[in-house]
Amino acid sequence: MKKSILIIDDEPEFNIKLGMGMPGFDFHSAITAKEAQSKLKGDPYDLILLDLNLNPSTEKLEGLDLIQRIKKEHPVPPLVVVTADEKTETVVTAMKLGADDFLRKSTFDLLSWKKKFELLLENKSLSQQVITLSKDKYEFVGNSIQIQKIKNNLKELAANPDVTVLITGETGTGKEIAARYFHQNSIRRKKIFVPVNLTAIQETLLESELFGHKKGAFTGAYTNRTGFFRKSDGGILFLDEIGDLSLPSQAKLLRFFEEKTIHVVGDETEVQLDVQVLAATNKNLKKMVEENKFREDLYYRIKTFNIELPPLRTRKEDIPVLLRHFLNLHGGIALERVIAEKSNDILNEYRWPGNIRELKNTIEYAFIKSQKQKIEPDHLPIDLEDFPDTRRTSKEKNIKLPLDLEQTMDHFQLKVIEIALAQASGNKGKTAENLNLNRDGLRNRIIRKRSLTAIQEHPEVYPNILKYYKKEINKELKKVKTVKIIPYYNPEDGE
Amino acid sequence: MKSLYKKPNRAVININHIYFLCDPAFNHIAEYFITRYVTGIRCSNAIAKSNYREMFRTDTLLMIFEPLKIDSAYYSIYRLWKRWCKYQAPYLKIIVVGFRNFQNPNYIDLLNLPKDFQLTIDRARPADFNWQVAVEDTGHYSDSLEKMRLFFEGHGRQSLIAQLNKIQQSLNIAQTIAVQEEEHAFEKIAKDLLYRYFIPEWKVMTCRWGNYSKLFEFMPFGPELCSIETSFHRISGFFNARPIQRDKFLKMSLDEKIRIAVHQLKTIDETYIRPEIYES
Repeated sequence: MKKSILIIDDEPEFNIKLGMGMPGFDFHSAITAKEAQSKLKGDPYDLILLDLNLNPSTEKLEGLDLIQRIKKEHPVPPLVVVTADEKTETVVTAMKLGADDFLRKSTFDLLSWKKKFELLLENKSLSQQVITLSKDKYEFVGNSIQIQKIKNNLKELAANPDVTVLITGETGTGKEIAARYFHQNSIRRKKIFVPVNLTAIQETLLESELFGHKKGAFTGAYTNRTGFFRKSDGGILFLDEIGDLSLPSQAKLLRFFEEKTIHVVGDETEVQLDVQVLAATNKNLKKMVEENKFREDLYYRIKTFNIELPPLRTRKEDIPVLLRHFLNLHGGIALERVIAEKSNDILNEYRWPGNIRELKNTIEYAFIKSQKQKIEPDHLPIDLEDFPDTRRTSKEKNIKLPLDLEQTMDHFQLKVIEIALAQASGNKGKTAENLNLNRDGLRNRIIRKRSLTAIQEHPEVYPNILKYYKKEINKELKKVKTVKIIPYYNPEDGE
Repeated sequence: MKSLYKKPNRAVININHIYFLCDPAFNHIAEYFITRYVTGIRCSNAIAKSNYREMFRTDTLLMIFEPLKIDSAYYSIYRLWKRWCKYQAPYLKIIVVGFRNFQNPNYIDLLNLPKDFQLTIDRARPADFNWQVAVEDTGHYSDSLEKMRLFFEGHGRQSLIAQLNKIQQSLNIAQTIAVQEEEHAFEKIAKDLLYRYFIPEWKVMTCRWGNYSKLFEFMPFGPELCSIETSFHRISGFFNARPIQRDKFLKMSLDEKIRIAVHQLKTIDETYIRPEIYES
C-alpha cells in the first residue's frame, strides 16, 4: 500500500510535481490551513509536509501556527516543515514547536527528499510504539464533568505527599490510570511509581513480596529481596485489588499504615520508609467490613480520601473521546473515517459492563477484524452483536417498573422478537429461522394473550411487531373480544 | 580648447585614477569635464567592467554622474555602489556629481563647482562611512537600489529566488526521472512536467528578468548578472528547439545551472539588496 503524504502548501503544483517524481507515494494537497485541518480530520496520513510560508500575503508565518495544532491532534505522522525562508531562526522555532524535520525548497533534490521521507516513515512506526506505550498507560482520558471533577480532586490531593487515597470503581474504570495521574501531578512525580496487583501475588509470598526478605530467611530465599515497599521508598506504591487481601495479610499491611515502618522477613530491625500509598479496589469495602471480611482499622487508614470512578455507562459523553484516544494509539486515525456510523451508534449505546477496558478491547478487536478498514457492525465483538438488547434505548425506559417476573419475561421475549424482526427487515420467515422457530411458532408467541397484553401496554416499544403482525394482532384481539384495537403503529412516525 | 571651468590651484596628489559612471549619452562630456577640471589624473569609464575589485585601489576615486538615463527612466545609482563598496572596497571615496543644490562632502554641484578639488577629495568620506546624498523626491528619479529590491522581491507574491526554486524543482525532478527512464518515457515527462510546468514558469521568470536587465550593466555586480543572463539565454534556446531530447537534456545539466544561478543571486540579494530578509 502506498504511503500517503499530505502537502500543506499554497502551491498546488508542488504536490503534482512531487507525485511525478515519487510515484511510490500517494500525495495529497491542502492549500490553506483550514483545508489541511479538515483533510486531517477525515483521512489518515503517514507524513505531513507543511510549508511555513503558507500565505505569503501576510507577514505572519501561518505555517508556524499550524504546527502545534497538527501535532496535538495528530501526534503520530511525522511533520516536516518546508521553507523557502532562509532564516535559521524560523527553522529553529518550527522545530521547537514540534516539527520532526525540515526541508528547504531552495536546495531541492528529489532523491534526498525521497530518502528523508523514507527514513521518517521508518521512524514513524517506532514513534508510534513509543506513543502507544507512554500514552496508553498514563493518559487519563475523559471530558465528562465527573472525570474533570475527579481530575481536579486528584490534583488537589496530589499536593499532599503523605495522604493515602483509596480509589474505587467497577472493574475496568481506570483505577490504575487514575493512580498514575495522581503520581504525575504529585510532588513525588520525579520519584518511582510502583504498581502492585495484590491478587497476582500468592498468599504465602505476599509478605516477602511486599516487605522483602533476607537471604536464608526461609527455604528458597536464596538472595536478598527488596520488596515493593522498599522499592518505592520516596515514591508512590499503588496497591491494586486491596479488597482481595486475606485478613492475615491485611494485618501485615496495617503496621505500615500505623507506623510507616516495615519488617523485612528474616530481619528483626525495623525499616522506616517514606512511601505514599494509593489503594484501589472494585469491592465494597464498607460492606466487607460489616461482614468482617475486611479489617475496620485498615479500612479507615486507607480511605482517608476516597475517589470513586464512575462506570462508563454513566458518562457516555466520554465514549467518543476514548474512542479517539484508542484510535490515536493505532496511528492517529480519524474516528469518523474508521468507525461506520452504525457501529458508532452501537458503541455509544452499549452498556459497557467491562467499562473502559472493555471498550479498548472491543475497538482493538474490531480494528484487527476490519483489517484496518472501516469498522462496520459486523466487525464488533460477538458480545455486542448478539445482544443488541443490552443497549438501552429511550423507548425501553418507557416500560414502567416494577414488573413481575412473568411480565418481565413476556417483555423480554417480545423484545427479542422485535429486534429479530428489525434485523430481518420484517421478513417473517427469516426472523423465525433466526430465532430457531417456525413461522407459526413465531406468530403464536406474538398473538398469545400474555404477549398481546404486553404489546397493548407498551405499543411504542414494539413498532416492528405491530407493523409486520398488525393483521394477526388485530384479528386475535377481536377474537378475544378486546374492546381496544391497536391502531397501526408506524415506527417512522416516532414515539 | 579653453576650459569652461576654473582650474584648481593645486594638483591632486593622492588620487591617481578616477573612474566615472554616467549616462552613456554623456560619456564624452563627463570624461572631458574630469580631464579639464582635474588635470593630470587618469580617468576611465567604469561601466560594465568585470574586475571592479581590482580596479578600485586606494589611489582611485569613483565619480558618479547623476541622474543616469537607463531605458528611458532616470536613476540614482550611488546608494547601490556605496553598499557594494562597503563590503568590497570600503576605503573607496565615491563622489556624486549632479545638478542639485546640495551641500555634502561627497557631492559636487556642477552648477556650483568647488574651487579646490583636492580639498573636496580630502573631505569626502569613504564608502563604509555613514553618509548619504539627499535624493529629491521629485518623481523623476528612481533609486536603483529600490529597483533591484523590487527585482528580487517581486511585485506579486513570489520572490525571484522562489520563482527560480520552482524552476529548479521541475528541472531536478525531470532530470532524476530522465536518468532512470528510457527515451520514450522521457517524452511523457517532457509533456507532463516540462511543457506543463517548467516552460510557463520559465517564461514568467525570463519576462521578469528582461524588465530589469538593462539596469544590470550599471550595477557593481553587473558582471555576475550578465553571466547568469547568458546561461539563461542558453536554457531558453534549448527549450525553444523542440522536441526536447533526453540525451541533450541530461548533458545540459540544467538543474545545476539553475542551482548556481540561485546561489549567485541569493548572495547578491543577501549581501547588497535585502540583507534584512536573511538576518537571523
